[in-house]
Amino acid sequence: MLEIKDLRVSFHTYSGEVQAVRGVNLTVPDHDITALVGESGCGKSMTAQTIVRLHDPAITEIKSGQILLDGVDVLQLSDREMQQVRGKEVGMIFQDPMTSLNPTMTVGAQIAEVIWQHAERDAQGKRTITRSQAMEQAEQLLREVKLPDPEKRIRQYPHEFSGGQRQRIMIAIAMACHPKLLIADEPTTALDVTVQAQILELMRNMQQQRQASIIIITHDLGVVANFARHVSVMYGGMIVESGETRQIFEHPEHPYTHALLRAIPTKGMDKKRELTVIEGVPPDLVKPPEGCPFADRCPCAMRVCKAHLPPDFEMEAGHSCRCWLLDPDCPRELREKRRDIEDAAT
Amino acid sequence: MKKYILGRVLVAFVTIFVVITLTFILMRLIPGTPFNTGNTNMDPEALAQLEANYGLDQPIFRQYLIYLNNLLHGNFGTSITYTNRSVTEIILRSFPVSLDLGLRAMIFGVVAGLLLGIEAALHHNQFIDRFSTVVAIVGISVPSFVLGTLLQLVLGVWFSGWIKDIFHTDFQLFPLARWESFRYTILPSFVLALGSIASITRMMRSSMLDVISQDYVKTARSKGISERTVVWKHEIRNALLPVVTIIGRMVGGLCTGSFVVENLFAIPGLGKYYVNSVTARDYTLTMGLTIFYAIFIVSSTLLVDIVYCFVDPRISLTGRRKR
Repeated sequence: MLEIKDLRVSFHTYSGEVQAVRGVNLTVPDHDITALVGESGCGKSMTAQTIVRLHDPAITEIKSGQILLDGVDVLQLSDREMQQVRGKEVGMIFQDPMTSLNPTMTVGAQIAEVIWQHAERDAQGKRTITRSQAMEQAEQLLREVKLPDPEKRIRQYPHEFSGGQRQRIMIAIAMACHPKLLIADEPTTALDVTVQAQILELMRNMQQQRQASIIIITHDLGVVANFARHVSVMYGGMIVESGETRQIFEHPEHPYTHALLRAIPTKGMDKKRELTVIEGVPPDLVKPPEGCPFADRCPCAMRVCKAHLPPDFEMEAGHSCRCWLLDPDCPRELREKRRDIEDAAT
Repeated sequence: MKKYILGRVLVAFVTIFVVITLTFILMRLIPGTPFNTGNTNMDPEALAQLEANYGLDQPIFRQYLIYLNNLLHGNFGTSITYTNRSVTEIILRSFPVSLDLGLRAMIFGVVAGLLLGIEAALHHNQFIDRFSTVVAIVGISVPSFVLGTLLQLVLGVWFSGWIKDIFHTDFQLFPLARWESFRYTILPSFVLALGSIASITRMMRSSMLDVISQDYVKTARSKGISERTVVWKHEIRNALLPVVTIIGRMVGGLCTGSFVVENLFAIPGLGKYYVNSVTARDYTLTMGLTIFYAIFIVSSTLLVDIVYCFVDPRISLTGRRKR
């Protein structure tokens, strides 16, 4: 249903043009949960914001690409047509629930606003619902996201709710018009671990009831493992590996994915052992490297890695990876060297 | 809420009482008396007779008690310099003019300041934004007597001259002085308002820029509501909050009369009386006007605080957290 083709997005800063997204291809299947994983600044939020064109048009430039939502390229839509997509076809949840709600509007009004905006209209262009009906629907939504006392709380302001409750309200807003796609940009990062699980559970329930799809953006692989069906790993403005969650966790191919998985602290880990880190820093996207963006930090980097960007290699159905190690011409001993590094780490 | 207002009113009474006492003491500390401000050739005997007439020969504390007693009966006394005119009468006659000028300047300042501030923020770093910065700098740094006289010269004299040359009429769009019909009010209101325009513009601009980058504005946009609704309902509404406070503070300053602007345009407002009463040691008039200003400012501040809690739901006046 959602297909992103060769998306390139830059934004202009004082230090130059930052090529935040450099050719992303992503397919989000219907009724499923897809995760976009990567470290800060790898372009994952930018990609997600571009889907609903929420980027700042003053500094951001979409260089090329298509974003097909049910076959329609949203990048070609007029601003007015785009408003019909936002909230109605695609809902969004952001990272920090403490600042994502308008402090001077009751939560009921904020939910009703989106319902009212996208309410069906009759032949004369008049809405078929009244404002108070929109408010009733808002109350019903609060009930659906399991907020206690919805009839009372609907008239309260955001500062009267906790972080987890506010994120529930955000979910209510995002899901109010039954969108086909929900984009959740780090929805649990700002929450306590126990609340995180509840919010993810709620999102999954809503997704299943409504037959919607979710794109979840996160840097937390723990969230991904239990939540998403598909994973795309982003690095340096591009997707370096993507596949089903099971494939990524059981047979990671890209050295970056490996490093990420190794970096997850495990329960019962020796307390004296240092946490595993990925040495080095991510590439400067003002002057992105010509070759593989991970080459500088990669323990198995070859000469070709620095000079040429690897293409996407498909290992099995649905699982693909951008790494020269997967090239059929790659010497076997180099591939084995990677295995050795893995074994040494585990 | 009721309890809070009652408390605030009580505090207001105490404030005003302190103002009365301090002004009384300070006035008496200034050397000289209403009849002898330093260099008089008056016959000492006649002087003593005059002062006795006004009760100025009494011990200070007794004068103070008599004054308080009069106040309690709503009597501000008679002006000493303007013989036979009571302080109340002077206030009743001149304050409406000052209030009129002040309110006009207020409306001018709020409308122009908000519009300019909002436009500047919405077109950040573009022409209108730089223009607003210039307005703000000029408005804050150029004193009103400079700007006032300049405008009188350019608009009142030169411009009228051109009109006369071209249309052969004596009609003045911007008369130099006096307070008669609407066109007389334009220049003085503008000159008085400029400082407020400048500070409201700056405040609104920075507040608006702050709100524009807030997450909830992004949320609002993600709902697919129109850009106009985003700007009005989510951006301007929230950006106004801090500005309301400074607007509230301006009411007192603008509406109680400005000595400079009233003098410049020969407007019969209160400002002139206030300054003159101090130099003339007109004890009763100074006291009366000070008390009047104090009441005006204290109550306008209280009003703003009460209004503020209706504007911002996060603030509750009782100090208790709402559940």
